[in-house]
Amino acid sequence: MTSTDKEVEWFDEEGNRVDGRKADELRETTMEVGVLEEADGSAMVEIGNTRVIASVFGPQDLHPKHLQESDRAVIKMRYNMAPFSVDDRMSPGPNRRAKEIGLVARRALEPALELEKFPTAGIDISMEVVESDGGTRVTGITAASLALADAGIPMKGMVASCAAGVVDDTPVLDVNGKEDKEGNADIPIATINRSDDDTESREEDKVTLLQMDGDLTTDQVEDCVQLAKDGCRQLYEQQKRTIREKYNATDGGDQ
Amino acid sequence: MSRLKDENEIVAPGDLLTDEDDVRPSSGVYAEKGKIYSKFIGTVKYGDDYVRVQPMDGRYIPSEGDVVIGEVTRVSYSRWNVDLDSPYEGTLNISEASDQYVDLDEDDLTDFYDVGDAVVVKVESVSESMDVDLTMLDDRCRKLEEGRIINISPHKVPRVIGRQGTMVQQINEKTNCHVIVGQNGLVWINGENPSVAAEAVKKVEREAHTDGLTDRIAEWLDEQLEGGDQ
Repeated sequence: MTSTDKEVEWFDEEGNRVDGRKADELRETTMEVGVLEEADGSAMVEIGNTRVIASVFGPQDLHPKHLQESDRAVIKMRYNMAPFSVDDRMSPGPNRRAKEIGLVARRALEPALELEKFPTAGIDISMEVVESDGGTRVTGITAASLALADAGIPMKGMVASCAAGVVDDTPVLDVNGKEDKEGNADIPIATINRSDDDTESREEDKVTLLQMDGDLTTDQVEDCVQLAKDGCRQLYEQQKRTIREKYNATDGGDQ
Repeated sequence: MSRLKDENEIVAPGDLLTDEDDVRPSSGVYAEKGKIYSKFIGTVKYGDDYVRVQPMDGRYIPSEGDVVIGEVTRVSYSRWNVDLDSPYEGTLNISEASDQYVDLDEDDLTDFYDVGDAVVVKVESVSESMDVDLTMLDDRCRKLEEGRIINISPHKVPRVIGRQGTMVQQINEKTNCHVIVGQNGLVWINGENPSVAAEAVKKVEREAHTDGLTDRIAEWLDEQLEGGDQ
């Protein structure tokens, strides 16, 4: 089932990808803030057939006490894939992959947060993958950032995250499940975004996650990073729209 | 160019609010390289020489002088632990609970406050490591009997109280209730129409970021109370 067994047609005559997208196009994306009643903050992000629900509880009392830090809040990050999220049922529970993704996602979000405002406290973040078709970790980070903002945790900017990869020696944005599994390689990236969008400050876009799975040439890496950065920017704009829509809906009340 | 957003516009973390030098960053914002950005989802407020963001949501962080509503969770030899619906628990020492002499070995502290009691209590001091000391030695502080307690976002408390207490007064008068709003977002309601009063408080919370709220709530209360009589 690899691309060497049977050649996959990655692009049609018009240059469209296997799901009809252009090389620099994101999948159809929907976002929603405040999807869970009981959580302090929550969000759902759907990118193509990948769907992740993120929740935030806290800042709250942290136990056991030895995990507390006297000068900042501690984040507990959980990444979990539902057994029904993939085509062949996945056995539930944490595995090596889930732990690693929880760790890198925490590190992708932490630089944006003002954790020193809550000494000794804990913040629980959970990313539940309901449906998976490539790019679950980046979708999870994008959702977790929305959930954190929804919970009222002070942040320097919104974290948006997306991946770019290479199929058939061509860099493409936001790889789907097939491109992820059978393509050459992919690079997930997360950035901290702020609204001043002149090019000067864009160069200060802080990258907080950068991984690489597969082999790429130096030029391809640079192309992918640039593509993914642009993708993050598009997701950031949508995050802002989603936040505004939630509150503008109640503008003026029901009278 | 100083104001990049409209007054009361909804902003997200990282939104640039102003790039003018002589504007002071107040609460809910941060400055970097002469530019001021929002830290929260909230509404922008521009002052003469400052800018701030009123957050939409967030947990209560104790601050000196706040009058809050809490629940007693533990009684020890000489003090009580009080849950303030916050990441940080409050401690009420016996010396701050009564100005009379109490013999710790003879008297039972549960005669004052027992586990599960709701109290209005003032934050006396907050240490750097977020140890919160409470006091009852203030006219507003007391144990709450009867009534009900509902929960709202602590950031919406100023709106529920209103300018010089107008909003809460209006709810009190129209529903014939006694409403106490704790700075930590717990609201105690007791009186004739507690359900209407509770719904009114919730409505203020939901629509806190909109204009003309006091009049709209007055209208709404009249409607509700008329409907109840029929």
